[in-house]
Amino acid sequence: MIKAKWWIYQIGIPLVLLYAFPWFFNNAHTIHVAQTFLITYIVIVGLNLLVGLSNQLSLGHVGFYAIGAYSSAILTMTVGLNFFVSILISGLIAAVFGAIVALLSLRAKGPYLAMVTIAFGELISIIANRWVNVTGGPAGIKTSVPSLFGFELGQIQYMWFIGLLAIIFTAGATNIFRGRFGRTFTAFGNSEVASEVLGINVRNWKILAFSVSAFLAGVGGGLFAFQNQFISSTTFELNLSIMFLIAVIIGGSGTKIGPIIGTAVIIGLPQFLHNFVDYHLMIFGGILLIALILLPDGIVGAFTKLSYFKKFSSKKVNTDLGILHDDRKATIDLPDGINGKLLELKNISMHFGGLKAIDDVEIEVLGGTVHGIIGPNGSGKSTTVNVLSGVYMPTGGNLLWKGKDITKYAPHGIAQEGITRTFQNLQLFEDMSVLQNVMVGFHRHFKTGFLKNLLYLGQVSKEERYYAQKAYDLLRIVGLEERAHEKASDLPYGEQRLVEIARGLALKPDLLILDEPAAGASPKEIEKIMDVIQRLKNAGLSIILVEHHMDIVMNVCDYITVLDFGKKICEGTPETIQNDPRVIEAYLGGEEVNQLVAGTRSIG
Amino acid sequence: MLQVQDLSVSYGQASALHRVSLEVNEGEIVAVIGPNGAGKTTLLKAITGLLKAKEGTILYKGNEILGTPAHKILGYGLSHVPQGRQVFGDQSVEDNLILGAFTIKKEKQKIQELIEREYERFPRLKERRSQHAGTLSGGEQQMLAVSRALMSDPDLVILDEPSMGLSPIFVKQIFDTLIELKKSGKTVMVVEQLAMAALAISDRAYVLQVGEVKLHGESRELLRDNSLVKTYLGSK
Repeated sequence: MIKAKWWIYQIGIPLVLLYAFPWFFNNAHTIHVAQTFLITYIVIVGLNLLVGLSNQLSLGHVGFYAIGAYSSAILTMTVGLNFFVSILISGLIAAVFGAIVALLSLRAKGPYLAMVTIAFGELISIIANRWVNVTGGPAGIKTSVPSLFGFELGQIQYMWFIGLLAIIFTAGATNIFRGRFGRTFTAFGNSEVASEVLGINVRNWKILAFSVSAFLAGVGGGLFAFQNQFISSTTFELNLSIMFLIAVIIGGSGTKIGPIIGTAVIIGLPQFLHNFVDYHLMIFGGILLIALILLPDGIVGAFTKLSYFKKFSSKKVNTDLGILHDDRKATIDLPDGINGKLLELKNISMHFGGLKAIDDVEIEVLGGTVHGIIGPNGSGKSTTVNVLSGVYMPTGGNLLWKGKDITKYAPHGIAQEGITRTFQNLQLFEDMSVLQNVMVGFHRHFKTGFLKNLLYLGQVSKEERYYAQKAYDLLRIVGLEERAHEKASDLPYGEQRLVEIARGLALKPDLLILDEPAAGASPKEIEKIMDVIQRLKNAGLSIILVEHHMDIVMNVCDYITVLDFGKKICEGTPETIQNDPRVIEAYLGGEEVNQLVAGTRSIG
Repeated sequence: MLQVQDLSVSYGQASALHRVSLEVNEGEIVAVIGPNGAGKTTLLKAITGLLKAKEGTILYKGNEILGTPAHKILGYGLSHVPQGRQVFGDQSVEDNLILGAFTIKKEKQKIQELIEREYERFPRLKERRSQHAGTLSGGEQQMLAVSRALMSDPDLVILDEPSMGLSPIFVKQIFDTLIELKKSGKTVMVVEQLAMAALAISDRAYVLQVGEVKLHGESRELLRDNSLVKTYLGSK
């Protein structure tokens, strides 16, 4: 039934509307506007994937658009390819450029990324302007009348053709949105470091997001090249990039129907405002400003809040995913336990310039144990966790995992090996539900590829249902099944920590590193968290626990390492640690100071 | 002089202080100690108005100051030496002191007197009066931070981990200063990581743990009490 509904809404109705359009609005101007709408819409669908899902701001989409337009013009006119083939090829060319831009801007985020993309867009537009031999510059070049199988497409047929592509791309984009690819895009857009420690190679995924987005922009550009059988460099300027972005934001970035609304605004509005043509950018600037203030989630976002709010906040089990709420006791699915040395830190040092955050530290973690790492402020606990999870590469020493050297592994590599972690400063994927957060944790277990997801084959939906059920079971283990469909960031702090634990468990880790799991939680929540850790321990999971809350540490840990000023000062069982004078000194103050100050007192 | 009752503070969803009550009487040195993450700094920030408390009352000289903005609280005779010193690094030592007298900025004569008093307290600062504060050593910066706080001539001085990152000699000097302040009639509240040292110089102390007061009493009693170590290192 869901399938039938999907075909009606995604394909049937749009097809009918598209086919019927010329009967209602049969004049050349309206058809031309409709073509422009559809072409722009295709670009916006791509930009929405990038900006809305992956949070990668691009102000250079005009570059991909121009590359698409010029390559398809050149491929048809000079090489003599069919226009449709040339459009697809130019989409691929734009995708390659997308990958290049992504690689160049890997470390840039937010405004800096926007700057890189602006530079790219400007570069392409300057080339279009100056490389007159090829592009014709401002005077432009002619393209052919589009034809398919020997039939020339008239204005109306060309509109139908573009519309058909738009419907296909929308269906593809929707499939991407609802499957694991959309989830992964959103995940690294929300938190790169959390995605990495769950085994997502963020670099590759960013390249993919940029490529897909650039592909659609390239195809849009290609379609544009044949709309008027003429293109000139004056079209491809920065303000077009800005308009694209405005459409995404006004429509509601990251929503499925946002692009339709957004495109309608930027294409439709100028039709009513031709008298103010000189003020277009100003008017759009104003609209953007108002939209950002009044409707931060865009038009679609605002409406979902109104009408769907209740539907989303209701706590019913999502039947779409076929989740079973049975009475079986949920079991923790863990890899086989390992006895003996699991992880070894050999003379690990992490120096930041002159600061020795950790210095020559040796720790051995045995399989099946809970190993505590404690120490006063600034003792190097967080640095140790960051080294263990690959967030930092140590400046000295080796990290051995089951005897294998993993010192130089990136976080996603370490996650692939079966080590994951939670974060002291929570790193949940805020735009997702609790269930989706946990589903991202299954990343390394998903098998289906991009094409299968694009088509959303039966295999894909089966896989989705399978892992949704597993994620739900994990939520039952941490006692959060009731919250499965709530937005993760709406949960109380302590429960958010439990979501992170469940998400980490989804990886099916051999070793789970808990970085201050009780920080900021209320006493009641702390009890819950402690109970969960205890149960994981009983299930045989190896855990590294960094925590200030000593009652938890002393009751749960089998073995404890104490750090102070980046050095290991002692290790042993909880009893040993509690009675070790070095530990007491580290926590309560050194002997030297005490004597000095005590001396003061007797004088005073 | 200062009465805190059932104070609860949270950062967004994270709770930092849970129904904390304590009092500071006139002429006392009161220490607040506890492991890191206990909420000590949060407590001070809530008292001095830098953080908004969720619930509870804070009475200073009998007046409710909860919700009063930080810059006004200073005018009531309560001064805060923040953690990590926070001196104005690009300004001279003397300018830092003058800025400390912001609430009495119109009385030039008095400001001069106060500056002289601080130079007497810490002769080192006088030597370095025209030097940029950022170029001072950690210990000297801490002296400056204390002096700057005293420039508003407060009745109650609140210090947040004055020993942080200092060598034992400087720690001693700062702690000596606290005792002198008490002798000159000021009231002192100090948050410390160096629990033993703080207990040695204070009259009474509160032990915070995970946002709650776990122990409190006379400092000399607490020094002998076994449960202090337990609070820090947990019990099993």
